[in-house]
Amino acid sequence: MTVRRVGSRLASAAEKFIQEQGALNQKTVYKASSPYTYTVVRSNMANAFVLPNNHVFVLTGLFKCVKDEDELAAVLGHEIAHNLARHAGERLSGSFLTNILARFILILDPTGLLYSIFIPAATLLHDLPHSREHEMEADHIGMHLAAEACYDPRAAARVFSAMKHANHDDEDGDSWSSRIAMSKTSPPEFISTHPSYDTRISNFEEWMPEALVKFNADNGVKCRMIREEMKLARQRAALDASRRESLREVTATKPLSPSELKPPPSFEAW
Amino acid sequence: MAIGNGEDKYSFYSSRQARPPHRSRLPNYIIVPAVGLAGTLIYGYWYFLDEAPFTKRRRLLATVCFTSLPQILFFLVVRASFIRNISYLNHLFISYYYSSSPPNLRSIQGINNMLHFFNNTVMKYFHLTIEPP
Repeated sequence: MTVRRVGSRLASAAEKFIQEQGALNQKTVYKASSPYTYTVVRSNMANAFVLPNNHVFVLTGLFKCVKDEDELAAVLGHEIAHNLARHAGERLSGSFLTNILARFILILDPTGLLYSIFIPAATLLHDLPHSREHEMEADHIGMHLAAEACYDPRAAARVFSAMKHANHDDEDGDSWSSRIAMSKTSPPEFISTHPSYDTRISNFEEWMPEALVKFNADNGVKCRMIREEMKLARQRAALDASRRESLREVTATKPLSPSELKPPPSFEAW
Repeated sequence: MAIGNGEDKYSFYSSRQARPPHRSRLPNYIIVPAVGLAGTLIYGYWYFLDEAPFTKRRRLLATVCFTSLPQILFFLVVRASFIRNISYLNHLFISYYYSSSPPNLRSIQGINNMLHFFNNTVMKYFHLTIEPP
């Protein structure tokens, strides 16, 4: 419920973003996006991802690092931003070009030696840097979206430092397994699809003044009112959840009445 | 005027001048496709150059969105070529499905119906089947 509520606020900010950017950029046609779907997946991993056509997935392990709605908005804003910037399409376009070059290389050198050098080189020099660029761009746009939807943009730095510390906590200890875990969780940036946590946090600090201007627009009156509404919505959601829980407990403990135990009318009754 | 003794080089009777040696080592059947491919790649890159929203980053974005009937027909041709194992065209097909701006169609069911009709009429003749999405 919380994910959907935060996501729907961000989605309306995304719609506004599309209209603004469509007005600025005449060449690229931004179309009205499909409705967003939010799916929470039970997993220990602290992660979230988005599929094209606006399907957002959040893994429950993320809630170890995310403490409030502002922090959740930072993560969801990042995922929504990937789709707004059409990063999946860009990745496909890049791989299309790489594929043509790879085929051309195979024609030039049928032994496949050049090809076997070209593919890792293309990954290292083209795909991975672009992926990190996409992540940074999604961080930037996501922060803007969160501020537009009146979520505190400072939460982005908080959630990523929490994720960094959660990783470091996992890395504590001298055993070989923890060292292997460390090497698995934090590879060097140049071979990683994502920028390092330190880079991301420093980027957030750099973009913060711009986001805070948006967050405090109209002397903060607009966002203050919306945040009051959010608070009310949270209280209502908590009340609904407790009511559902109590109803579930009652139905679980209540013994069945004789009429409920009676078998349904069968063919013989006729 | 001496004729045929080689003194007058414009004379009809003088011996033919030797041709200058051919400078290009590569034959035309290599040069023309290479230049054509390079030109196509450069033009394609320029054509699909796009600007990322908000950050204004220049990037290559060659995914297509289908909004009209001719474009859908083009998609069907691309899909058919995918089945014929021309796999580099398959990227266009994938980018159609996975583009973040979906086609302006009311439902996927419409495409399914079209594909079934197309399979049972035209593609049957070619012994091909287009899979519905």
